[in-house]
Amino acid sequence: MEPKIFLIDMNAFFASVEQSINPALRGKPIVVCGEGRTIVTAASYEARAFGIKTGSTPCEAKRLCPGVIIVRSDMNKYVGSSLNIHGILLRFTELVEPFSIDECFMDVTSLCRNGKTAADIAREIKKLIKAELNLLCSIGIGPNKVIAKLASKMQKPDGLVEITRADIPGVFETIPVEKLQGAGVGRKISEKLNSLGIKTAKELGQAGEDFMMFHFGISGWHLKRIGLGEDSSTVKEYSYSEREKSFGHSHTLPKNTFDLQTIRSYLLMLCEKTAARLRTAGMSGKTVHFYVRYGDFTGFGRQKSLKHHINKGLDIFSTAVDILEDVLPLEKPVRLLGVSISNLILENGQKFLFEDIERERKLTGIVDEINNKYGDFTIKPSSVLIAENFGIEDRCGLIGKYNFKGRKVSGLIGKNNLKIVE
Amino acid sequence: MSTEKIGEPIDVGAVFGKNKIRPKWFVWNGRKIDIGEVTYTWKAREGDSIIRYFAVTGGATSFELSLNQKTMCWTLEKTNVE
Repeated sequence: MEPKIFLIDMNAFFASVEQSINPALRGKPIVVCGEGRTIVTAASYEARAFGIKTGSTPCEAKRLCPGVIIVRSDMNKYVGSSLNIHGILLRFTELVEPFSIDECFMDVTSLCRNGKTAADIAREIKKLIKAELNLLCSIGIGPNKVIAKLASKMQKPDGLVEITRADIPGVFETIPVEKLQGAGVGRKISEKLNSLGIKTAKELGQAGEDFMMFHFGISGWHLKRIGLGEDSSTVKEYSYSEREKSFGHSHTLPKNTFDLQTIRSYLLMLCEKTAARLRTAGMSGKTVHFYVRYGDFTGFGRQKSLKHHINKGLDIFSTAVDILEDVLPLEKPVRLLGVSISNLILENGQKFLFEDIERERKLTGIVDEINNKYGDFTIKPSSVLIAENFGIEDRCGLIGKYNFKGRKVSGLIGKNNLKIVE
Repeated sequence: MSTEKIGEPIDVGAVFGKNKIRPKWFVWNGRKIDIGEVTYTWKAREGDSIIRYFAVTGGATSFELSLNQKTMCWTLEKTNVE
C-alpha cells in the first residue's frame, strides 16, 4: 500500500486564534502585529480580501482597509494552541512531526484499514480541530512529505486535497516551480531555475542530473528528486528529540539609532538571554553570529568562530562586539539586532582546576536560578538598563523553529473544554 | 474595537472540578459581572509561577482574566470593547 502522509496547515493561524478567543473579532478584518514598529505577522481571511498580506506594515494595512483591527501578538496563546493541536493529532498516531508553529506532518498509513481511507481520517481531524479549538486547517495528503506539502497549499482555507503517486505526472505537468516553495524549493532557487529555463515541476524532474549538480551542487540531485515527486524522508515520532543546532535572539528597537551605547546595551541583553537558554539546555557553542538590520531593511550578518566553546553572556557579547567593531562606522541607523550561537556541544559538568573560573560558574548558576524563579533579568548587568530605558518589547524575537517536544510551555484549551494541558 | 490593559486584582467566583476551572462571575470597580461564556483558556509561565488565562464574555464586552496558581490571585488583564 502506498504511504499516506498528511501535512496539516492551520489557516491564518495567529489571526484565527485571536478570533476564537474574542468573538467580537470573528468575521472582521484583523491583523496581528507586535508592539511598536513591526510588521503584520498574520492577517485574517477577511483582511486578506482587502489585499493585506503577511509582511505588510500596519500603515499599509490601514491604507488598504481603514477598518482593519490591529491586534497585538501574544506568542503564549499561539504556542499553547499549537500544543493543543498536537494533542488532537496524537490521539490518532505517535507519528506526528511538527514542522512549524502551525504545520505538522503525520503518517497515517497504518490507520488506513477496514475500509477507512486517509481522506476519512483527515475529515475527522478537521472536525475535531474545529469543534475543540474553533480553528480551520487545510490538509494535504500524499505518498511523501513533499507531495503532502504541495497538496496542502492547493486549497485554502479549510482545504482537503489528495495527490496519489498516479496523479503526480499530471499535476507536475503544469505546476510552476514557484509552487514547490515550502515543499523543498526556496524562493531564490526557484528564481534560478526559471533563469535556467526550468519553469515547471515536470521540467525540473526531466532536467539532467549532471546539469543540476553543475548549477546547484549536491542540492541539484535533491531538487531533481523533488521534480520527480520523490522524497525518502520519513515522519518522525513526536517524542523524537532533535537536538538544537543553535540558540539566538533578535530585537526590533523602538526607533532607529546610530547610538553605539544603546546598541551595545541591547546586544548585551540579547547575549545574556541567549546564554541563559544555552545553559538551560546544558550546552555551549563556539560560533557567534551577529546581524543588523538597518532602518531601510538592508543589513548585514557576520560570524566568528572561537577556539573554545562558551556559554556565558559576556563571552558571547565580547565576540559579538568584536564583529561589530570590524564593521564600524555603521552605514545607516539600526532598526534590529540579532545574535545567535551555533556549533554546539553538550556540557559535561567538568569542574575547573582554577578556583576563580569555578567560582564564576557557581555565580552564573545562582543568577540563572534566581532569574528562573522570579523572571528573566531579575538580576541583570547594569548596562542593560540603557536598553530598558530606550524601550524593550515584552519578548525578544526567538530565532529558529519552536521546539515543542517535551517542553512545558503552555496549554491552550478550546471553547468550553477546560482540560488542563501540561 | 478597543483593547485596554487593566492589570488590576479582582474577586472571582469559579467552579473547580473534573480538572477544570470555570470562572462564573467577577467583581470589578464594585460591580459584579456575570460571565456569559469562557471562549478560550491558555497557560504561561512567569518565573516559577504558572499563570492560567481565561478569555470570557460578559455582555457586550470580552475580558481576559488570569489566575496565578502560586498566589491564587485573580487579575483582570484586559478588556475588549466593541
